[in-house]
Amino acid sequence: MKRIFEVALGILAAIGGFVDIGDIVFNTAAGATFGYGLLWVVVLGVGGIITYSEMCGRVAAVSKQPVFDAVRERLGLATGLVALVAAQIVNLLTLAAEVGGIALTLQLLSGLPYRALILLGVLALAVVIWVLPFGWIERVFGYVGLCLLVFAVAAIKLHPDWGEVAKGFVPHVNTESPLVYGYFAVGLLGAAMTPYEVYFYSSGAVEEGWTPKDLGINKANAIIGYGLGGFLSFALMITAGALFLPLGIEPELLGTVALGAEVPLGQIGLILALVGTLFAVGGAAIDTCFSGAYNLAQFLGWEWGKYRGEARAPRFTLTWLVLLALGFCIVMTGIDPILLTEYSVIFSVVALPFTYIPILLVANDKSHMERYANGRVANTLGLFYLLVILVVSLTAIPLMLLTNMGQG
Amino acid sequence: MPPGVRRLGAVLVFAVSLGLVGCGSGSQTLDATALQKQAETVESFAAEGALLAGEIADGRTTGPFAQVQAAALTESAQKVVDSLAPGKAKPAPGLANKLARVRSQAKLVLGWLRPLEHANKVTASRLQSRLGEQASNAKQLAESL
Repeated sequence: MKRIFEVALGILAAIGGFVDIGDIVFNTAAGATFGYGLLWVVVLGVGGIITYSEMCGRVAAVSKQPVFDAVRERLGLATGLVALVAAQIVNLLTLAAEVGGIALTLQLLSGLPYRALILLGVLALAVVIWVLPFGWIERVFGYVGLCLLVFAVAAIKLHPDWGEVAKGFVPHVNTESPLVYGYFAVGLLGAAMTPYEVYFYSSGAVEEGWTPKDLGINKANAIIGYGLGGFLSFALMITAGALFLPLGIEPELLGTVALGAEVPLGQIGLILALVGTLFAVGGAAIDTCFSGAYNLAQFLGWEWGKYRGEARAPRFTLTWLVLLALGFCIVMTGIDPILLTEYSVIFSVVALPFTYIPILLVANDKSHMERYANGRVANTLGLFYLLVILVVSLTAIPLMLLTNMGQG
Repeated sequence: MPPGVRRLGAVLVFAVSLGLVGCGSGSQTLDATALQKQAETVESFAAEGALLAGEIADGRTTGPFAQVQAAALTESAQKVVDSLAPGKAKPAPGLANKLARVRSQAKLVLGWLRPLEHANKVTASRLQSRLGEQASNAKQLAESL
């Protein structure tokens, strides 16, 4: 019974943690631009994050080695340093985008000034990270983030053409605007497979003291949790495809996403959408903040982990505080958080191989993992997704430039 | 130069290029495709304004949300109007008249979005139909370009 409860908690936390501002923005924009035509890309992305999260959770449970330990060990110091710099830039951009998203959502809820809410949001994040235990942080943000399920109800209430929705799950290419379609496909894959998710997932497994006995929980969390997270992405895309596309609305504002729940469900839909967004984005801000601190500490061999407490891991604690302060400073410059989100997602796509190649190498190393090393299925999926990752990382920047960030 | 340093350099060049991409400024030459895109953006603002106005008129939204979203839409529409201003936008040869039509359409939409921020139910209902009309006009304009 205890085990079932643990699985349920992990799954719920994973659902809330999967959907961040990048997913919210890209899924809604993709739905408003191509209707249901990119649903299959979400399936592809969710498959990728499940494959690699399961691997890095397994590595963490068996060897207690989180991702950045593996990066340094497998790529060497020089290439590892490049990977670290790339990962930290992406983390910081993503953190800043999430902080901006928190302030925007609070503003839509309260009507208070945006800059004051940036400060309030960052202070609230610092207090939550400092005070709450790791498990509670995951669960609170995961559970309340589930309010985003309101978009599934909204999608049904908008009566989409379910035949067209079903067609969207079949892989195809849009021949009218192939480049813009490609840009959104790359963005959706990047949003689904953002590197911070695996940094956080593997370090979290060490924080929670997973052992080989927890491999079942690992698999259940990865498959069901991220699978249901993907379900939220479908809901956002279907809502946008059913409501915004016929009206010619191109969502450029976070509030437009919430309007997608308000139109079919009224005030309750709006409030659930905004609260869900606040906690999903808040959870992602904490994930990215921790991920940055995990990466640096693991690369430099410092003591790390929330479970050690501030006194036993002072450099780790200082790092997440500095990252939070930097994220705050970036957003206070007045940069548009939505634009920042798009940059962070596309930049993260370029950095994907640095993160996922070392995971595949370690998970496949029998001398390291013994009987828990990758089997045939995990290796086949791992190699397939590595190929996908390499293609999207090479095409991300050209597509961004050629399409003027998806504007055509 | 060690390969690691070269790779680090490549990453930094990439980061700077990203910054440059995001810092486009000054006057821009608008070709037919860019102009059509601007008209579609105007259509989008008008259509979203009409949708929001309908929610306000029906009492289905909250005060803070309506105000903040209307203000954000107005600000975005203002940016489009500014970008189409005579000194800022340079039309490609033969597109001067079309640019003027898109600019005029954008100004009309901006004019109807401005009162939305503080609209009561009655005003919102009127704005809903006006913005709906402007969305249709902007769509026709975009299709004609």
